[in-house]
Amino acid sequence: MADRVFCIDLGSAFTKVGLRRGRRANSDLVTDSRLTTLDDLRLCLPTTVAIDFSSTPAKPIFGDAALDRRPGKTMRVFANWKKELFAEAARSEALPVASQTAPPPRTPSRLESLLNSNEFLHFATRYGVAPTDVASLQKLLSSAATILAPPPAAGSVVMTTADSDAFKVAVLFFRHLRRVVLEVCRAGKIDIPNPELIPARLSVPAFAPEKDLSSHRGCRWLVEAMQRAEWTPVDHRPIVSEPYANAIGVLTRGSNCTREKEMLQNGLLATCLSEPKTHPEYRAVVIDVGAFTVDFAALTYRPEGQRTLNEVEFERHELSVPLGVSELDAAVLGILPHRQVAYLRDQASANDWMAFRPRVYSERQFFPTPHGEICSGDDVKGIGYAIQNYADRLSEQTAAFFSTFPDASFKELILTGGGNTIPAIQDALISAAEAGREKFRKVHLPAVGIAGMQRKGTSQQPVAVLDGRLTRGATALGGSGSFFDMDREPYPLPTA
Amino acid sequence: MAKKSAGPSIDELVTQALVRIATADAPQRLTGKGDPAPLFASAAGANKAALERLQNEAEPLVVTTGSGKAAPVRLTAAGFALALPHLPPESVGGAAKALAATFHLAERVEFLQEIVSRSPDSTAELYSVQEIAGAELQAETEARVAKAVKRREADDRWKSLIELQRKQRIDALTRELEAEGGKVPPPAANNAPPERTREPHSEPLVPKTAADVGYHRQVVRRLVSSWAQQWDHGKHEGRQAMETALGGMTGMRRIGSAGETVAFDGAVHESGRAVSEGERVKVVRPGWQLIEEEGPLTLLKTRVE
Repeated sequence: MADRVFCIDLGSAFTKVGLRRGRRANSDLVTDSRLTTLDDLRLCLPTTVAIDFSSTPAKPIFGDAALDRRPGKTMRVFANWKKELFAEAARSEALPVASQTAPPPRTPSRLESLLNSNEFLHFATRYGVAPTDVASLQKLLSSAATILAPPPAAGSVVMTTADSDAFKVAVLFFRHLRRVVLEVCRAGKIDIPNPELIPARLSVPAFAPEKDLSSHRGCRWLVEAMQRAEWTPVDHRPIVSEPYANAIGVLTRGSNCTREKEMLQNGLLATCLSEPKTHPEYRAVVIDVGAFTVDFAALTYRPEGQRTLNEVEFERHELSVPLGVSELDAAVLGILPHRQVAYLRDQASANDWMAFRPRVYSERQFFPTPHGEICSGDDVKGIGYAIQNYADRLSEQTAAFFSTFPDASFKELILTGGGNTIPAIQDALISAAEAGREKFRKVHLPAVGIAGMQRKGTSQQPVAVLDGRLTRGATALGGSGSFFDMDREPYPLPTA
Repeated sequence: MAKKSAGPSIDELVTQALVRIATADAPQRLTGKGDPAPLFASAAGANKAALERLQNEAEPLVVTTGSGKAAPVRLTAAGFALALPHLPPESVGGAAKALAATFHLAERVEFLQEIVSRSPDSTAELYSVQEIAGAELQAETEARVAKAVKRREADDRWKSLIELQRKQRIDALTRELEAEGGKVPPPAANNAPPERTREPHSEPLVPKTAADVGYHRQVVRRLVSSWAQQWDHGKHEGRQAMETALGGMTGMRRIGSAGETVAFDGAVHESGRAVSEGERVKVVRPGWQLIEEEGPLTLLKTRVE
């Protein structure tokens, strides 16, 4: 077991880093103005990379400076290179695809493009068609197109890392990340000797069962990019799935104590471990609503006799679906007037979007733009429809995920990710998750909106409010925890 | 069999109640019996959640103006803001006027500014109220300043008197000692108690607890957002007023001045076109940063072209 570990939570939009300074030291998040000055916690390094080709050699741009960059003749912006990397890696070899794996993106037909266009939405609005009906039509066509689409021609174009722009960007990004993280560690704020010797663990979407992640082609590419950037992967479990690390982060709050009661914050799992006869099963579910994906993870543990935390291994069911908050953004843009859409799409900065979402989606307050206020007039109803429609889509996915556990009862529900700061989303997810089954014994939720309003629990269902650190950083925190080391079965990288 | 339609949502119940309070001629009650009918027939089911939302401790939308269960309620500024989009335009001015009268002066001025900015049609009706409130606020401020000046002058006179009496006492004791044939010892420099230094009054107040820091950030973010709106709409007076407010907030720093030519730095600059780092660009709208102990927090990037 490595004494010290970094965990890189490589998000599509923002990357977070967790650090365990010693064998039993608590994990913490790496925060500093060197990572970002846009986020209150100085935690989320933008994952976007821009490449400026106006000089030779081309100059990569990272961090806050890469956000809000406009692409042009001499500027290329990689806003979601992680997705591109996984798609390109999938083309590098015909791999058996796990049932949970999201299929590679399909090129939409012209008819789909029409139905998804703003012009069509304006047209529908003019004829009084509700946005929910338009969304249903879009979904119907999309489902039909998916069924009728020919099977993907696996391996028709073979990619290698040398051909992949996304891979090259990944190497540049990991190099920048390493430089910044080491600078922060050396600047005295973290005060840790020889940070360059600390190995790193990477969290990735739940593409495959935990033990198969290290042989997943996309994950291998990411680890190779990390290694080229001089990061050393942890021997024991170099890759963990995001939902699993997220759940451990929330349940332990970064504690790495030897006694499970302390590590698990005296939670229900700790009770289950100490009284296995009275509590024969523990089950928690995590739903992380991120920028581009929604990750579900159900963790089940059945203690057979007294066990220590070292021996605990959860049964896991995980699923990632491409239904992040960017889908809601697109739906809301579909109902706004053209000039406001143009402003939000082409002029609004990352800062504006960071203010827009909590204000409009969470607090339902007006948001000023040079072309009038959003969410203050006729658009209030439409935005409400869009949020409800998005919440309904999330509910469907949640119900589908829970239908794989028809008779099971769950103890805890953990909602994380930026999308879960929207009250309507919280309500929808809790209702869908509890439909037809026993209520959760405890719910973990982020605070709502800029003002950080906190939901009240009841004596039957207490609510644990997650602060910004846990809402955004639980995966990095959990991934750097000793939980993934200890005496568990190792899932090392396959030898070349 | 036809499906029974679902009742109004909690949000709708809350909005309906707020609109009724804002537009009613007589005081309204949330629950209870008697005339006029209360806003909610019962406090059960969806009504319960709506009532909790209305009286939420963290951000109440209504407050009671008496005691007992059947006490009438009035809107808070937050409640009125929530009801505003649903009010008939012609009733906004009257309702705002009536509500403003229940606020303290400073709160009243702020409330009226907010209403006028969100509902420009009410400007004419609220002008006189705002004028009076502004004048009263000004007078109140001036009275406070005059009182402070008077108190400081009295303090200074008091200090002078004490100093004079101290010197007179020392002189008297010295004369008495000399008359007895004694010698006055030289002042012991090292034994003198150290002079107590006081923090200058101009020292900025820095938020200390996590809650204070969070609140401070929330306030400055909203101010900067409103400032940017004033800038984009070319409202110079509003912008200047907000700049004064922002300038008085601890840790606020303006980035760049309009018209200034600077080297492009993507970390604090934004542009509508592809720009290389270091390229000379012209500032078209300044940005804002909040300087905190952990470093700067960029609230608004400087817009350049």
